[in-house]
Amino acid sequence: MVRELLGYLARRLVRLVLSLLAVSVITFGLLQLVPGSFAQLSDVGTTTLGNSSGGADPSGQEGAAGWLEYFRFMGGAITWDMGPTYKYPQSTVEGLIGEAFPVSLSLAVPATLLTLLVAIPVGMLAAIKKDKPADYGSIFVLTTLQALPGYLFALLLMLILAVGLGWLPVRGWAGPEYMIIPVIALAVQPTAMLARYVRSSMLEALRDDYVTAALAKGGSTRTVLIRHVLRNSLIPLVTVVGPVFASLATGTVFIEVLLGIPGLGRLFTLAARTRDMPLLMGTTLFFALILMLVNLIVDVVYGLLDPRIAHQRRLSGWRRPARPAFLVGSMHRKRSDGGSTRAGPRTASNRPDAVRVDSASSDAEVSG
Amino acid sequence: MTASFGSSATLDGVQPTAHDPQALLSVRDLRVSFAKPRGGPTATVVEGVSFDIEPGASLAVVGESGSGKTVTMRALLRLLPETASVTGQAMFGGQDLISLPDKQLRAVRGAQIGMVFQNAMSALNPTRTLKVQLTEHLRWHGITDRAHALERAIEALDRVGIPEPRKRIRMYPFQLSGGQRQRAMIAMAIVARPKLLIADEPTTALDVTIQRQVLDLLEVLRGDGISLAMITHDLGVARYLCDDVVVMRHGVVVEAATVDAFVNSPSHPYSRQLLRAAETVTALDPATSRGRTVTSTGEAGHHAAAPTGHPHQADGPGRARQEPFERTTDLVAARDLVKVFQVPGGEITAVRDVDLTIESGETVGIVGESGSGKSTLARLIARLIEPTTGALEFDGDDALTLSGQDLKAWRRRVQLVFQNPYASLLPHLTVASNVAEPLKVHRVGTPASRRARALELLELVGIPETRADQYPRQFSGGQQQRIAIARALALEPDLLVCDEPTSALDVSIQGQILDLLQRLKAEMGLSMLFITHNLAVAQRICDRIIVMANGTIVESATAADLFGAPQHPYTRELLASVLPIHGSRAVAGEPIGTAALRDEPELDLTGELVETAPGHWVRSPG
Repeated sequence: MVRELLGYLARRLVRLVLSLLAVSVITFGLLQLVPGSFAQLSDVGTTTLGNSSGGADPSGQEGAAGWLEYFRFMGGAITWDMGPTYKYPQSTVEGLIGEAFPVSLSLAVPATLLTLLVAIPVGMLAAIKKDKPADYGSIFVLTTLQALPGYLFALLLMLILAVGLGWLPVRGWAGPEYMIIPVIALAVQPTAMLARYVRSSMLEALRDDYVTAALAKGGSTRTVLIRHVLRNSLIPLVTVVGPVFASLATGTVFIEVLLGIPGLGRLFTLAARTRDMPLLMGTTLFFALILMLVNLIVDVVYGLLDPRIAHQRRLSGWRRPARPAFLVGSMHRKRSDGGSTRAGPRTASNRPDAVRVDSASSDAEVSG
Repeated sequence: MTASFGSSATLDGVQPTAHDPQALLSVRDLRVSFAKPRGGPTATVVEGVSFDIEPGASLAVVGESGSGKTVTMRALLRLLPETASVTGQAMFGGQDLISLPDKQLRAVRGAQIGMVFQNAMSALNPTRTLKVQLTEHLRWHGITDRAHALERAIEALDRVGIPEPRKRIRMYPFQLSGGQRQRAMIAMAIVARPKLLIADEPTTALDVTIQRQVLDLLEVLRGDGISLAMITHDLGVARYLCDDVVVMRHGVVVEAATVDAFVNSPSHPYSRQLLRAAETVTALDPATSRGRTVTSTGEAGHHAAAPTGHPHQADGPGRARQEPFERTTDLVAARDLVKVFQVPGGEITAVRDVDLTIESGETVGIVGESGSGKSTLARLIARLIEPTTGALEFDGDDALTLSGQDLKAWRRRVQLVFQNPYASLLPHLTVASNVAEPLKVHRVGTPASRRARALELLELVGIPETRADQYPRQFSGGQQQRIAIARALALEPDLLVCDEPTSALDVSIQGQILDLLQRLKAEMGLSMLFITHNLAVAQRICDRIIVMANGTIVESATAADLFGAPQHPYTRELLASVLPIHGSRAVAGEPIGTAALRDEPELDLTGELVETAPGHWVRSPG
């Protein structure tokens, strides 16, 4: 088991490196294709962060072969030394990322925890009270919240908590009290999405035969809910929480810019606006790295939580389980491979062969 | 009570009013209705059902889909969704299960009444080990503590014949084979030693050979003093295992009798209809090609009057197969077909060295259990998938080198009928358009002529013109299959490949579809390749039958030879697994003890196919 896991991790890491290379080539290629350059942007003037140092093209030789520049950058990136940015020649790309990432992370972790803390109970309640006022009410509220952009909440919270009541600072980044408004604002949409996900996941689990079987064994509703339903319906949640966390950890442009938080999102917008090649390449690669690492962690954890997944991977050379598409797609839940085996018998008719297909395919995998 | 069924005399006999004091479970006037969400009208599913189960008895609740049998049994333990409202009484151990407070009801569930479900794959929690699922309720009921619970669970697994129970109890359900899973679920139901076991179609999802094992296990458990209430649509199963029968239709008990009385002298017309529709295997004497049912002396008297015995053999096109074949050219000739599927981490040989010929006008059946490669073979013949190696000739021409327009033209000659008719019809087209679709694809005729042809075909399969513009979902399963057959016939194919066309249908509908196929075959001179797991269906419709296992041919013979003189042990085992409806239980042989269940011997298929009699090929021992 441990050896298999290590082999799987090794294969995934190789794939991760290849993906990062692809991302870098695509990003760089696009930057080369776009007309204009950092140097020509100098006449645009100053930006919100400091003075424009403008003027000379920091890349030195005008018209040097693009790919040389690419290799120079990538050579540095491998050793976490991406050199100075065009815009701030005195600070390095890795230095800026190193400063911004902890800021974004310190928002992402509490926001994700808050999301889970609210979404799971709300989703559960809605599922158990299906078609009752509590269900309709929570679904209405959740759908509304999901439809509203997060920065709107940031503005509302600023108006109420900071401007109106004066309890919190309006904007900036100078202590824990500055975190409250952004964390709540960041958590609203993911909470709404996750709660709906938990609800549908629970409803699906509630329809499963093993729930009836557990009740038929004499379990109380509460015991069965906790021991069988909740556990199984939270497993697929891992696949959604991972990407949510990754998206928060790589910075959220609107909130950070609006609230003056020096996180990764703001850094990225700055790089994109000024076409600062090293900074753009650096942030893009860093984003890609974070996303892929989170995906990898999700897949490993998923395999540990659901024995069927690890089993299927063993057979299939540890292929990634199908996952719900990030954010938008997750409402049309694609269940993991494991989920589909469970869905099989239910959709099938109660005649021999409908079920037979399912048991045959799983039997073929099992022997041994 | 529906007006169309039963005289009041019958119903009085069926509906006792007073509770039977001796009975283990005594159900009176059980009614179940479901409320539609948002205050719509309620739908009554069970309308006044009464029956008794004596201690140690076994009762079969039989009926077709939608008869309310599952709802009835679930209502007894109040396992229905909240929208259901249940009235009536169900006395069990001096308590009325229907009005019992929740807490006391929970003490009955699992501890005194165990429940077995149709599909173990879904009734066992996929993410919990057997240990958790077999022991948790022992602790809920306070029967034993954790340590003893484990021992008892291992004992239960041993009782149901799971090898190495100490090791397997730590496994997850998906790590067991299908038969083991089913037995593990039964172990879960009996580990608390209930007095009554309610089994809902416990063998329907299983292959016939495994079905026999599970039924024998249930028989063994009855010996341990557990009463049994079994829901089934298979009269053979009811006959094999149960003492009493309750026949349900439309939520009403139409007949309640002992199994013998039910089989030999059914009193209700619907019972007679069910018995007529049930397909049974008939042992044919190859010398005379005359039917002889595998039934007992008790039935022999009946059959003396009608020597053909089997109702479907008396007349109709089925009789044609008993004439000697006229030698014609082979329509299909497949040689050494091999299909290897590449799967991650290796390959699976789904079909291995299969030779197959289908003569013009012949129906060739392929029977086998799940995973035997029969559907893959059908898809190879229809060229839906390409063989890895081998040759396929159609009407004397090589069918494997066809491509482009030639292949498209060839496809007109081979059409398919699938198992699930609804899934194979386009839901957004009317049935007439569905039937006309192949004509459109092959650009045959004008829209008007295509429609005319579609109506003609629908008429042929018994769908009136007035319904031609309705959508597939508005038809019943049997009608949908008729429409699918009409569509397959639209291009006037030479070969019709039917992949389990009746196995998703109720028995009475199954008979109608088989009649239709036989009639069409005779009228249109079709050749058929008929895939089925059901030996009785194969016997009824096929001229020649090929038995497959593990992707290869085990035995191949005319229907008469195969059923009259089966030679390979696997074929004999398959035939023995079919449970006869008529006759005494002894016919089916002694129950297989749990010790015997433990061995699942590997089938030896390494030998060569040998022709033991003209046209009768058997794989020799390797």
